[in-house]
Amino acid sequence: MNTPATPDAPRLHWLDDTGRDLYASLDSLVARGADAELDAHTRDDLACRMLAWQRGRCTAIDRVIRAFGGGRVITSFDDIPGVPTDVFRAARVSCFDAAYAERTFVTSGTTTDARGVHAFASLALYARASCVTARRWLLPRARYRFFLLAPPESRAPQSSLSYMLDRFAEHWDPAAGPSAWFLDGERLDVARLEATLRTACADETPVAILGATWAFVHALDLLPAESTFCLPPGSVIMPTGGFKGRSRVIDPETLFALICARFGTSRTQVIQEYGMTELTSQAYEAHSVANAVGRYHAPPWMFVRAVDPETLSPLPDGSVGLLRIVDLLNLGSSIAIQTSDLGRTAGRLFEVHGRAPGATPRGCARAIDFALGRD
Amino acid sequence: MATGTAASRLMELAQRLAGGERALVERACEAIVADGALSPEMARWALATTCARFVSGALDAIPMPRDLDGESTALILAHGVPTAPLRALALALLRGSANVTVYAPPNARRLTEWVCGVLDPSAREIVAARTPSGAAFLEERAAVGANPVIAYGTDESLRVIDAALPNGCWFEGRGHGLGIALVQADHDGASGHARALAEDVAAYDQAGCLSPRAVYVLGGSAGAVGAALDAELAKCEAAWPRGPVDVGLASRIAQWQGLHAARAIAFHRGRTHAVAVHDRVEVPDAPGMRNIAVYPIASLAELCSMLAPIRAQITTLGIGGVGAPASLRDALGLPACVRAVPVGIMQDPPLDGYEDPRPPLISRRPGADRFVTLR
Repeated sequence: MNTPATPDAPRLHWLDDTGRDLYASLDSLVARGADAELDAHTRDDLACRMLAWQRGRCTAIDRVIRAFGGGRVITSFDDIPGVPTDVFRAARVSCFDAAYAERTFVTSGTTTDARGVHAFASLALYARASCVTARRWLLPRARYRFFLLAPPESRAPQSSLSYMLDRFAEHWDPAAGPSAWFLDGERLDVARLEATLRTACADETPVAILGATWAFVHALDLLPAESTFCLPPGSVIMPTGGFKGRSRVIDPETLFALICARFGTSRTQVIQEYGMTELTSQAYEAHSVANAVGRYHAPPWMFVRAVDPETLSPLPDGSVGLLRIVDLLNLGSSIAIQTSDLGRTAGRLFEVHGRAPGATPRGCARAIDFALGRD
Repeated sequence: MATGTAASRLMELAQRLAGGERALVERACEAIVADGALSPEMARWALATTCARFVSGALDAIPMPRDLDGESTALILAHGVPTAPLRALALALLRGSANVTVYAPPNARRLTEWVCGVLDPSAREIVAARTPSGAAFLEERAAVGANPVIAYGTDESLRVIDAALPNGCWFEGRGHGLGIALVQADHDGASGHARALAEDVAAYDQAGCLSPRAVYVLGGSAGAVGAALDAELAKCEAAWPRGPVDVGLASRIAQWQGLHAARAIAFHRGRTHAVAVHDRVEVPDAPGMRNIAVYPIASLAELCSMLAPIRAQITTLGIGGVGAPASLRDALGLPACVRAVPVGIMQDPPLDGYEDPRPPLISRRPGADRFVTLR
């Protein structure tokens, strides 16, 4: 049952004593903010306790850990095998009874593909943590004027992106209400977008244009060619996700150059987000760290490792592999997720090099290259 | 077969390879290994096994009309069994092509180039072109001006190629298929068939449409069969080490293994293989590279019903102890052209029985009067 979020009233009745202890640890971790550091012992202890708790409550997780863990005793977060994202399409990856679900997010996909499902018994941590992370890496100012290029939460209650953007809007532009959203289904309200942007450009309040990458492509295509903007200082733009077969595909840096030219921003004002339905946490392109264009910084409760594609063993910094995410906030689902994204790490930073070629398309129309490359 | 033709030279080359002519075998194996297609041990076996089919008179015995007399043929090969180009090339030549331009997939590029060079050093009759096969063909089609175009590959790839051809160009597409195995549940039988099943799975690293993508166990639990198959696949690794896995395929395998591990009642994961044992029947979905699921079936009628949506894709039925292969093929509602054989020889077809048993996708523009769909 999808009901409006109540982020200030965490629903904890689904948790046993151990679960409440874990929740309390996570709650205090988030309260310490996005710059907090977890020492290795605390991190590993929390991760291993959480894994043990999840294995006892979710058969799918326990089976995957047994299959991939090879019988090893897991003593470090680095040893925790990731539950592959495809598992969310076919099995219930959840540590609570379905009746407790406050909200269920679903991956985007075509009608013929099974879609990944991530249920939450409580969204309170999700809401708080996403705002804490965004404040550090995306939205550092107190107020922004929001332009949201995604379906509004009321129209897309199964979209984790819409949920997150709605929390951002409540926090940073509470007066905007429904007028902050410019997408109705897949239709972009171009005329209103252009007019409202013109007004915003005459104001001092920084603008935040946040939304789906494919919606940005629509905006660039549909706004009149001569229509350019000069956003107020401090404005930010966040395109996230792929093209999902909903727009033409553009190389990311080409897209960012088009965005900068159209909206009068620098590349460092375009901040990519790394998140997915199967996760609770997000990472952001860390422009405030030197030489970090194209590199993401994860919050202190999210750990990214590149793993060997065949053995799934962790790789050292600098080696390209498949990204495995340990997300401590995934309390109700799986602490570790194995993605099909290629990338590499550099300390707390990581790069994303796109999907592994031939990997299961995540709701995208199969590109010609995919069909022909492995014929 | 007329002597001195490219087809007769191909027959001679195959026989010399089958005869173990050291220098030739070494060169061919080096090409297969350098293409990253198979391990050296498996490459040697694949070459010997494939070429052993080219016995005297075997090509002449194939009922092959000379319907390509004098034509310039484009031959687009599939990313599958790396030695398959030998037969595909032989058929195009036997049908009377004046010259053949071969587009090889990445995993057979060097072998194809080497074969073409040996058969026709002047490149008047046979030209080896760039890879990947389908994409390279689409780039070059205007320059080549080939007609007809014969393509092997996924149904998706064939449709893309077909749609890109100019009016008047004859297209013949051979779509992808898959094999399945059906074995008896009794424990002794399971163990007895496990070795043969493992060889079918391991041969060519489970590439191509003749390899089993699922094992169905009639009349009881699939657990014993799965455990025995796991043990035999581990033994196979010693004699036939698995070949390299590219990152995209490795990612697909990780996702498949996770998805099956989460739902299987038993999951055996070896260093280079995995066997998932389920308690209810599903359609085959194995990614290859020695990953396979084992399902119990209560009756042939149950399997027949489950296979209905993919019946057109099934090319091979391997049987272990259940009954006569041909009668079981009929009982499952599979067409007579499906190869029904005992397990252990699923991947070792005679030269005249290897062609995709499904009718080809054929189209000739303009008009669709000669268009035959695969499903």
